[in-house]
Amino acid sequence: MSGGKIRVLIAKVGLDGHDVGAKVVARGLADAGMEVIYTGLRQTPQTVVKIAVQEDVDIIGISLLSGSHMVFIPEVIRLLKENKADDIGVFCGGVIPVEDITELKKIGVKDVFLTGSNMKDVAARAREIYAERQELRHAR
Amino acid sequence: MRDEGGPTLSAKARAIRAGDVRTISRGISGIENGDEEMRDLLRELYPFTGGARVIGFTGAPGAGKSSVIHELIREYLRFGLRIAVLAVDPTSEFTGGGVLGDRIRMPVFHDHLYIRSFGARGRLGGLSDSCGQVLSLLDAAGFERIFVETVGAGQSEIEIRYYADTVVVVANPNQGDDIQMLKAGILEIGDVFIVNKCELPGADAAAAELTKMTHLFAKGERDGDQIAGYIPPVIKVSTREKIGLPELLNGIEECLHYLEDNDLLRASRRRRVEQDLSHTLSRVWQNKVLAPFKATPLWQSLSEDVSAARLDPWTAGERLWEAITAADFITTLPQKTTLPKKRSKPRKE
Repeated sequence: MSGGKIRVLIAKVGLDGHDVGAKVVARGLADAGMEVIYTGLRQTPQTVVKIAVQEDVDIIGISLLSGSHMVFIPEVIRLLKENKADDIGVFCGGVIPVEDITELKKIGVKDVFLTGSNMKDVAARAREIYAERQELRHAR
Repeated sequence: MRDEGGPTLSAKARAIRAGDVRTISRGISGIENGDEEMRDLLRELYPFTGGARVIGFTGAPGAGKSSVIHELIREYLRFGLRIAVLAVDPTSEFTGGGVLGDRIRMPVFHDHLYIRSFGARGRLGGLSDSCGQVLSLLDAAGFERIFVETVGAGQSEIEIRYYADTVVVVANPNQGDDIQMLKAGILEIGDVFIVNKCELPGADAAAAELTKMTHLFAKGERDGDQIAGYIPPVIKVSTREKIGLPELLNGIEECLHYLEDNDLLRASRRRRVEQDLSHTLSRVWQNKVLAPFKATPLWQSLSEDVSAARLDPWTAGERLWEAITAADFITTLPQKTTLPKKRSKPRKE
């Protein structure tokens, strides 16, 4: 009998055609024992949230290299709230200016991983976010 | 409006009957994780099952199962049916993790459509043992067609036979000659055959070969059910060129009609129930008998004897069996039988 398994959605949103980073993170989290679903390129915030709800993921990881993170990530978070799914943790990574990190965290992003991040750190943070979410669900 | 089951049902069961996506999703996670509370929910939901038709898709990795399902979803949605897809992907035996990648081939969203990626979680057969329970939940949620995509390798190809009312085998051109078709064993499980990627050379030959085989080996019976007179269709499909998709839908629906007309759907449901019952019994046996039995002095000393080659394993097996068949066996087992389990606290909504 298996216990709870961490399910993660790795998402690419907007006009952003490079997903090597997203795939590396997907593979890395899978190697860390998680079940990872990848959205594929050029999704909208709406489709990302729909997939997250259908798949009952614990975490959404958004990869952005296009500079549009301040548009898409707040929209994903807003839609999660609208769908009463804001217990799903969100983290992001890619090419993100350090000055935006504070703002992203302020709107609810759990963590921001810049290029050069260590895969072990990402997996460890994912486990923490999962644990927080379990507590949140039990508390509700 | 469908009957949602009245006020006697729990809030969760009513939400699932009403098709609430979030409750369905969490229910499936609960089943996958073996949460205790799921048993009560499934007990409530079970009387509402029986409306769904389960269609299995199998074939070698890369044959195009996900793409075929994607195109088929669009065909079915035009008829206003409610569709669920269970896309099973392998997970690592070592880490337990995996990238579940079928869904990426099915970029389609619709109020009547629910897609769920499913990790095989290293369980025997590739189809996890929770498969039967998940199908019951989706059935009770009112989905009229449930597509199950197998991992496409090994035992799962046979196991899908137990869960599906009809099985679609996805083949490709140039997969070998008639001898390959014979030995692959796929003829035994298919109710509908498709040659996908039929825009490639060799498709006509492959289709002709398969057709010849289905006629030669059209079975008078399948798993003991008489289905004399049914010859599986062979359909050429190209998901890239959008060829053969209405024909595929017709082929599947004709097979379902055939089963219905000959009272064989009841037989396939019965087959699924027996499979589920044996899974359930194995789980009970594992948790309530085998696990505590392994902690008994008898088991330990016999294991020690066999390790030291003082005793052979077959004699030891027989002694264990003698102990099991003794009248007071259950009372001899240690009381602490529950294994530590993660996420044992019920999730609250």
